[in-house]
Order: sequence, then C-alpha cells, then structure tokens
Amino acid sequence: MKCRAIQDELLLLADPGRPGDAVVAHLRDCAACRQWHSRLLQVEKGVSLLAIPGSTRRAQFLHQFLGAPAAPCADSRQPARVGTSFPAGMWRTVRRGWSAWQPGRSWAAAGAVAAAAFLLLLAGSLVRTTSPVAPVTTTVRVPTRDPFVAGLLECNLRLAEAESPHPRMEAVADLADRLYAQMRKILRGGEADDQHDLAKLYARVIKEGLLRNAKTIAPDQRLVVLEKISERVSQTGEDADSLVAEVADESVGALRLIATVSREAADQLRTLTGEPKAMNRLWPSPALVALSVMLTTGRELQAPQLEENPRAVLLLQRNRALILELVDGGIALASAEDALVRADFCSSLAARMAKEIGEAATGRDNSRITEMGDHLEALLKRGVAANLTVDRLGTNLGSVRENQIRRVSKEVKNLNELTKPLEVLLDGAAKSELGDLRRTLQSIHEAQQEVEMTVTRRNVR
Amino acid sequence: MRLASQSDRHLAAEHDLVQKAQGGDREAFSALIDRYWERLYRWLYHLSGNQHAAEDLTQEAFLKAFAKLASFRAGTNFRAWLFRIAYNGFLNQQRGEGKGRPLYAESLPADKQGPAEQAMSQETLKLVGRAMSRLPNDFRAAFLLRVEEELSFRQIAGVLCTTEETARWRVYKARQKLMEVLAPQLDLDKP
Repeated sequence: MKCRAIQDELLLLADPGRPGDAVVAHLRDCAACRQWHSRLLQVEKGVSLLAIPGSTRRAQFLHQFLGAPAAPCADSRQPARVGTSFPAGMWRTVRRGWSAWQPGRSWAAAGAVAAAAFLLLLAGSLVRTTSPVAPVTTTVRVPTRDPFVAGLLECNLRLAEAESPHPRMEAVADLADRLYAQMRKILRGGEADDQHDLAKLYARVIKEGLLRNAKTIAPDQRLVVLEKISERVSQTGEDADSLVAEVADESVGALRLIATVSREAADQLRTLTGEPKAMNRLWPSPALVALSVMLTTGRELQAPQLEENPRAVLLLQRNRALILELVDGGIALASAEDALVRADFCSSLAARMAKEIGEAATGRDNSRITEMGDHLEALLKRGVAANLTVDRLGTNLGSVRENQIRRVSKEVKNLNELTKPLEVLLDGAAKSELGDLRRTLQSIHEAQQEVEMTVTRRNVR
Repeated sequence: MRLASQSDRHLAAEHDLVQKAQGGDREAFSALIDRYWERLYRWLYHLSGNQHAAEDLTQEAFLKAFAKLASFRAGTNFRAWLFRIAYNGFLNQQRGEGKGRPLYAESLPADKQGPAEQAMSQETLKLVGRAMSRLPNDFRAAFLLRVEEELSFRQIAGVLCTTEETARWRVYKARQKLMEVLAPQLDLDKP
C-alpha cells in the first residue's frame, strides 16, 4: 500500500527525478520502488529520444516571411513554385473573383471575393512594419491538402464498403458531422453564403441520406442502429442553437437551419426506434453528460472555441465543386444496396478525381496532384475493385450485369485519358520533383490494375 | 545560479524580440520563429502523427501569432502563448477530420547512438513511440509539454485551456499508462 502511494506521488510530481525527502527515504529502503522509479525516468528519457521526420519548411517559411522577392503569383501562366506560393488554380480563382460577381452565381463569386479580401488583409498585416523591407506580396503558402475533402471522401469510401445498415448509417451521420464541423470553422471570417450552402448540404444529408434510409431499416434493428445517431444529431442541434448568440447576424440563418433540421430529425429517429420524443423524456443536460464523462474517463468534453480559420475559408473556395460531388456521392451511396451500383458511383467519383489530377498537372500544381492521386487510388481500390469481387457480387450474374461490370472496368481504364497531362508533366519535370509524381502515377496505375485483375478473376472463375 | 542567470538572459532576449516584433519588426519575429519552429513542430508531430499536418499547423500557428501579436501581454510566457495558438489549430483540425483517431505514423527510433540511446534498445524505443501514440491526445499533449518543454503545470493548463489540477492529472495519467505498457518491457531489457 505504501509502495503504491509512493509511486502515485512520483507520477504526480512535476519532475519525478527530484522527489521529496519522504519519497527518497522510501526509495532507499525499497528495491522494488527503486527499480520502478528508475523505469519511470527511463520512459521519460525515451520519449525525448524519439526521432521524428525533420521539418522541411522552416527555411522556406522564414524566407517568405522576411519578404524575399515574390514568387510570380500574379501571373497564373507561370508555373506555381511547389510549396512557395498559392497554387496557380487558387490564384486564378482570386483574380476572377471581382469580375465574376453576378446575381445567381453567389457561390463562386462571393467565395472568390472572400478569398481576395482575405489575401488583402493578410498582405496588410504582413506589410505593417517599421523596417524598410520590400512589401510582401502575399506569398504565404496555404496548405493544399484539404482535410475536409479527405474526410468527406473517407465517408464515401466507408459507404462504398458498408454492407449492412449499421455502418452505413454511421457513415452518413459522420458525413453530416463533418459538414457541420466545417461550417463551424467558417462561422468567424467566412462568407455567409458559404455558411448557408454548407447548412443546406447538411440538411440534405440528414433528410435524404439519414432519414430516408433509416425508414428502410427493419424495425427490430432500428433501436441498435439509430439510438446513438439520434443523440448525435440532437447534440448538433443543441450546439448550433447555443452558437446563435455568438455569431454575426448573417450567420444566424444557417445555424437555425441546422438546429431545426437536427431537432426534427432527432425526433423522427426516436419515433422510428419507438422512443419518446425529446420533449417527453428526461435527457441528461449536456453539462451533466460532460461531467459524467469527465468523472469516468478523466477527459473533458469541450467544443472548440469559434476562431477565424482563413485556411478553411480558402480551401472551401477552392474545393467547392468537389465537395458538392462528394456530398451527392455520399447521399447516393447511402441508399445503394447493390455492390455493383456502389462500384459504379465510385468509378464516377474516380473520374472526377482524375480530372482534378489532369487540371493540376496542367497548372503544375504538384502537391495537388499527389493529394488527388491518393484519393483516386483509394476510390479505385476500396470503392471500385472491392465492390466487383465475387465475394460481394456473387457469380452467374446474367448478361446485363456482366455488361455493367465491363462498362465500369472500361471507364477505369479510360481514366488514363484524364490523367494524361500528368504523364506529359513527368516528361518535363525537374529531377527533384520526379520521385513524388512518378510514385503518384505508379499508384494510380496499380489501382487500375487491381480493378482489372478483379474483373479478370471473375471471368476465370 | 549560473543556470538561473542563463535562463534569465534567455527570457530577457525573448522579451526584447517580442517587443520589437510587436512594433512590426519582422526580423525580430523571424528570430522567434527560428527559436521555436522545431520544438513546436515536434510537439505537433507527436499530436497529429503526420509530418504534413504538423508542418501546416506549425506554419499556421506562427502566422496567427504574428497577426495576434498586439494582444500578447508583455511579461507573460511567449512560448506557452504560441503553443496555445497551435493547440487550438490542432483541435480545429481534429474536429474537421472527424472523431476518429488520426492515422499515427510511429516515431522513428533514435538514429544517434549516444550513451542514453545505447542504454535503451531500438526495440524499446519503438515500443515507447507506439505507447505514446496510443495515449489520448489531451494526455499526450500535456505529458509532452511537461517532459519535452518543461513547462510548469500552470503553464500547461494555460496552453490546453484547462485548470492546473487537470493538467497535473493528465500528466499523471499519461505516465501511469506508459508505465503500464512499458515497465514490463524495460524489465526484460535489463542487462
């Protein structure tokens, strides 16, 4: 008992290497605790010995920060220098922004204007200096990898893989969560139109993806599948409601839409599971839930504060069309029971990614190429090939379905047409860039081969 | 005494740099970037488990810090303030990426072979890395701030927006969990 108390005390110390007199006295007499203590010090030492991949961007960042000669960003015909400036595509968006403003094109125009405004503000904040250094022309690199797009794609892939209602509904609920999380990110500093559009997408996912499919679940499975999801949706509604007081007036509508849709959806889900509606049952308050979680797990439940997130705003502008397609794809996949239909949807999404790669290659945006290359590879392997296997589809499908499989396979082969600019780019790429780009192309080809081999294996069987 | 005066000189120099940067001196802020980049990146790498994410977050933290420099109170701890900005960025990124744990690329074992490294086998260092990656984010964040940055519990609380007691408790839990996993292995390593 004494040993346990001593060990606990050591764990609680700021520096276990410098214990108090009482602990030192115990350690002197107790070999087991002495050994335990030395292990603890070894573990802490071991942590500081862990090597990690070195950072590669510090020098470049400092160089930009100090206002080195600007990259030729203003001219989108110039190839974007990898990692040193905005990708060419983003600059084109910004440059088009002012002239693109037209009623009815609010998504594109408002977004581009917001991006331009952000760039001007950022430039202003960097230029404000007492030293007579040349003014900075916003060459700060915005990371091109978009975690939001990656998250939406992951939901799509999980939907493509799901073969029962439970994982499917979970993936749809995650899709809705990600949309709400993204909207939260742009509540400060984002455009109201973008917030409303994300809120509308959220509403679509809830209504067309979640509720519509929830009704098709067998009654005896509903409680298991839907109970937690209805709580999650309800919490999102509460969170949106609670933020209304914190945001600008023009953002209130988007939050209210989310709150209303979530509340109604949670009620409908509870009805489906046979539970009473929220008004009639005693839900523990969020504070009580947070307290009980903290007491049982020691972890605090804390929603992140609202902060300006210029990166999220810019990436949203850039990937808007892709986001829309991924949400549409997710809703479609949510109701696709048939593996062949799921493979077909994924092949369409794959074509979209291949097109992005082609465009990125034309604009010499190497990091975009690798980002989209990863997505394309995942779609082909997890979305298309996996759904064409005998395990999922069975054998002797009949001529109509066999023709469908052949069509999907052909579409996958035709992706090479869309990614052709990447091969052209590889011919003229600098040596330092060759490795990453070749690896990306190689991965895409391997994923295409996997689809082809899956189809071939079916025929052999 | 000598250490204390070194630390004082370090803090005074930092205070000077922050003041100059607040006056718009980019050279001064770049000296702060130089001073803290690697440490912040290392911490964020351990949190995110991903090199690109850690570099993005590091870069973003410095940009935000520069933009908000006017709100930094002179005399408080710049490093803790910077790490707090970075942690908020990390939390926002986590929320955007969903509730699942990030795919954690394990830390590489040390490639140097000093006496300390020789005392611990490469295999054990791998285990330490793996055990670290399995800690909940908030435990790992607090633990690393204590062990690597040597921040006080009060400063850790400031970075993680929590109370001093919670910060101490998180470090305690992290150590406890690591010991549960690693102590038996370290016993096996004993020569």
